[in-house]
Amino acid sequence: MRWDEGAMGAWAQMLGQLQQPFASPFAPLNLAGGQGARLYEAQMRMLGETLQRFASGFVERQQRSPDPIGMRELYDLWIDCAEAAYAGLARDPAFVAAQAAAVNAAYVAFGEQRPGAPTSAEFEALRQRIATLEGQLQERREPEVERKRDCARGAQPTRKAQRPRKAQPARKAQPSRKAPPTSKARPK
Amino acid sequence: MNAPAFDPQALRREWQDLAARAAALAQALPAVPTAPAGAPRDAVWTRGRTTLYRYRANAADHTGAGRSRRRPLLIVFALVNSPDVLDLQPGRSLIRGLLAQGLDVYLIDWGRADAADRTLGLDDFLDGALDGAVSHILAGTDDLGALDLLGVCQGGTMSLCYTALHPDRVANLVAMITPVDFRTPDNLLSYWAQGLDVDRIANAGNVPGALLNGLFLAQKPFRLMHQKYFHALDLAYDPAGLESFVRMERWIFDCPDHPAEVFRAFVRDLYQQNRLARGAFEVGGRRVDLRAITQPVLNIYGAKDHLVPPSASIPLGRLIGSRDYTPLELDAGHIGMYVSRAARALPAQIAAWLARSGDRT
Repeated sequence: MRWDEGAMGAWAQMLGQLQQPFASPFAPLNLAGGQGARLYEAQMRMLGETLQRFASGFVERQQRSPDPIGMRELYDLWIDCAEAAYAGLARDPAFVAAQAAAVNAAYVAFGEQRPGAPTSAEFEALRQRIATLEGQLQERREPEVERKRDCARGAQPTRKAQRPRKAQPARKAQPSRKAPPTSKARPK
Repeated sequence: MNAPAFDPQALRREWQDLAARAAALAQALPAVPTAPAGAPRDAVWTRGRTTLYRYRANAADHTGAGRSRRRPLLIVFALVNSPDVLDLQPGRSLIRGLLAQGLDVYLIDWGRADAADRTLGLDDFLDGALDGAVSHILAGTDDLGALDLLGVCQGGTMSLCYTALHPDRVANLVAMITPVDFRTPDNLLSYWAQGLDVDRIANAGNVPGALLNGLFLAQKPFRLMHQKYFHALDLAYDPAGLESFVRMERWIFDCPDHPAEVFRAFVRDLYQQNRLARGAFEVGGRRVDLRAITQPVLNIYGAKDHLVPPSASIPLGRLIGSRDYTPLELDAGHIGMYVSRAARALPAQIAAWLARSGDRT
């Protein structure tokens, strides 16, 4: 008997109905080329394969040992089967493409929900301004920290504390070496 | 005649046991200690959101190969998670293990990116924060011009880039679960990343940590989002085990948002175009040439790692310029690298390797 016939078939149908809420989030994304439907189909295919694996795994287990099967063992078998079926699905090019399309589409929706959000260029300008301030603050703070450290040691300021550091604390205070954001980096 | 598949009496007993465990678990969970239980440390340097910590050494604990080692070890963790997993609690701590080996351990904590950090690029983290931290550490040593670097996961890739760009600052490099070849056939994460519209995602701002975590969990959804919690019932009467479980869960779901520009560089340049392995990756306009890494390198990877499969880490040996390269495979998965039985010997292995490598640059 095929996995989707008889009692297993009813079970598959019921689980299929339970899967419906998973399909619904894709609908508002309006995925191109019916990719939302493909995602849903892929999920259902995986469910079918899981059931198939589960049924044969159950039979194998019975043949392997006469001991009754416990709940925990049954649950672990179900997980093993689902994970194995999913591993195949996760590499299915159609599934991968549809999944990527879903994420991309979600970001279109996400972007549309944020009118008036600052642009990358505005953020970059602000970041540079803050970095300059942080650098200036660091420059003022570090000699003080060195002095306190020396005092805590009970020693006079060491040669090391007096000599300039290898790193330049003000590095961030200097104009950023980074090129201004390209048009590609700006929100579309 | 076949034996019956189920024993109704046994099933009922099992059900009752599970129900009792669930009730006990529900009662025990609120009392699980979750306060930070990491080793004592001091924040010794900050820049922006980045904090450099130095762990307090307890000389009495030093038993290992690093006890006479003067050279500091700086740990660089990923941006996608907090570094707390390196020091979850006593008994499950890579950092405590390294301290017990006598090493002088520093950790760089990138902090949590907010919206204003969306334009921070890898150069800000490497040439800015990391190089600043290295300078601070080296300024505290009398004559050492270079330190030892331990990069973990994404932090490992960052450490490779840093070492290639600043080879004089690193004496020995330990790369742990570090991807270097991002397009190997068994790398599911890479496979999934190929179809992403990276610019669209990055242009929308920092990438939510929850989204990335969801992506990681979706690699093995039934084990990581179902079975793990069912098996947690086994911990209902095991307070120590439950505490470990809860601490790990808190860490897994504590995901800082990922700075948008670094996401763009990692996904587009590395996962999609594999530029690091091809010698075409750029940080701040400078090409990262892994052949510039000539210092001793220890490459640690997990045989069962599904996020950074061994195939993504192993090519490091042929891509770097160093002739002193040691691969170390552990029988562990990605998370198991921090807390599994196989990982318990790791601090001693790292310390022994560093001791063997000596203080030469």
